[in-house]
Amino acid sequence: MTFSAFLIQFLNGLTIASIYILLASGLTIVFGLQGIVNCAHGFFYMLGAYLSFMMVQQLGLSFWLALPVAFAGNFLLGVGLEFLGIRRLMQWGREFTHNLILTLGFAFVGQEVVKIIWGAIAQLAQPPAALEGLLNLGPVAYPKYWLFVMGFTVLVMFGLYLFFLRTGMGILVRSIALNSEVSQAMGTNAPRINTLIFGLGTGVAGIAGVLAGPILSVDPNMAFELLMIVFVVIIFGGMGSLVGVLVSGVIIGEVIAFGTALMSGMIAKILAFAVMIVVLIFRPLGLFGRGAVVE
Amino acid sequence: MGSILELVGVHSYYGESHILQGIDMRVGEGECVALLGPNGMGKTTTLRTIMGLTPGRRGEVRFKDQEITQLRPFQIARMGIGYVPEDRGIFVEMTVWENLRVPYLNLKNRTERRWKEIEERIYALFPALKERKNQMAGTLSGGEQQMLATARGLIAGEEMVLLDEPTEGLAPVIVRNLIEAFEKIKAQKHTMLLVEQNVHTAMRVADRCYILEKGRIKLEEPMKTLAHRPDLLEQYFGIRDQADLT
Repeated sequence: MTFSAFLIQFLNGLTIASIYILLASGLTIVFGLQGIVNCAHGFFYMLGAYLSFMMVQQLGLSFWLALPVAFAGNFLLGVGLEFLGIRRLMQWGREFTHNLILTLGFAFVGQEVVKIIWGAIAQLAQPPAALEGLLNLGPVAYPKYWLFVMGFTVLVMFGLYLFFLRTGMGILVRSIALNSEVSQAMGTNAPRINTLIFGLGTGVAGIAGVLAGPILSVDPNMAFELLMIVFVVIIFGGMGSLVGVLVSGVIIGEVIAFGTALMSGMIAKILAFAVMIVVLIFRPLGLFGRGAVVE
Repeated sequence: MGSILELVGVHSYYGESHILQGIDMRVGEGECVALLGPNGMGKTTTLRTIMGLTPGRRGEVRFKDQEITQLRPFQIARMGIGYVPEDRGIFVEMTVWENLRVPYLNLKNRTERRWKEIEERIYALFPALKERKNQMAGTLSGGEQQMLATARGLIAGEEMVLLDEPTEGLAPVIVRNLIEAFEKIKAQKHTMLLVEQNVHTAMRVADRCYILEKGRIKLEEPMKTLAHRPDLLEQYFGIRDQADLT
């Protein structure tokens, strides 16, 4: 493999890692906070992609408008799902399995609705005009849009970092994740914060969908295969850990990129699982997992 | 002295087991009341029931003449009741400062000035916390963690604070420091309900005590007279020699 071919694959790895990281961060935050796995996360990702496709390709609106709209739309839908469904199940003491079934059911219904609105065939989203074409990086030229996806992911992750570590709301969120009962006994309205954070997670999934549209295809099954790898990223990084998602996202992204280039897509996925399994043998809670939430 | 907190015939359960079997008690404003008795008799459950963490199934909990029996823990906390749990419940992976911010961020009127006042008051009471402000709370010693838990309880509990076995498992020198802090808190007219297994601690700070046995109040007694009742001391605390109390 030549140096420029190596560099291209390396950048491809970072691009796909960006999508993994954005998707995994929402899932892992919600898991860390409420101890539930949102099986509808992939649906929110797909919805983001379709909302963007509709706004940009069908209505001729700006991509830069699609990003905040997809975030806001997914945020509101996520808040609705949490408030009307998950919160009720938690109050009745039905925590884990029932929420798996609820969110999975929601995802199936949502997917069918998407098929009714936009059809079952794959669509192709276009990157915004300003980001079309290649950027010369010296040894290689690389698609501008793909570089933008990496940069935007860094921005989102930095925003999340500031939110959780530097704001009052972030302190309250972390206190709930560490000890929900004690935090509530200090006046924290945990149910409300849980709802908002759930919405934040689905909102970020929507952003991931918008960004992934022009790279991967936009179709009703776009989430399923990707989500398998995203779960690998989360478990490998340690459930509930944002830093873990960042590190494992990059590692898995590179494994997938080089595995695909040197062997095949199928073997690359097997490799990703193999890496996860090896790490779990030595660190059962993943790279940065602490198992604080799972008893 | 008017009652700030009142329990009337309160019953609580853990699942099917009947823990509190009709508790009647009251705490006056500015008073320090100790809840004493052997382990497993419902002392912790009484505090959890007041906080709404183990809501009472029968009876009434009243705070400032308002019924709070069915309110949720965060609503009860926001009425000005602070809670210092038995295991301290420190947020281990947050700094000392962040731990103190949690109850503050849930107060109604927040201003920078008010936070400064709170910080000053807390650091005057527990100077060790000021030094360790930016340290991860999980790295504190047991005594420092207890100080932090108490400080958080005081910030949330502007009206009163519930303390669950604050001296349990700590070295005698640290217990002495904590008792001094409790005396200062009491001198500031802060209402306290203190659960203790250790009568000595209670003797130092409490005005009055209730002795809890098998989920019922067995006895209500001013602390001063309890010290002169060797029969009670022996029966409930196994203390034979009066000299043990000093």
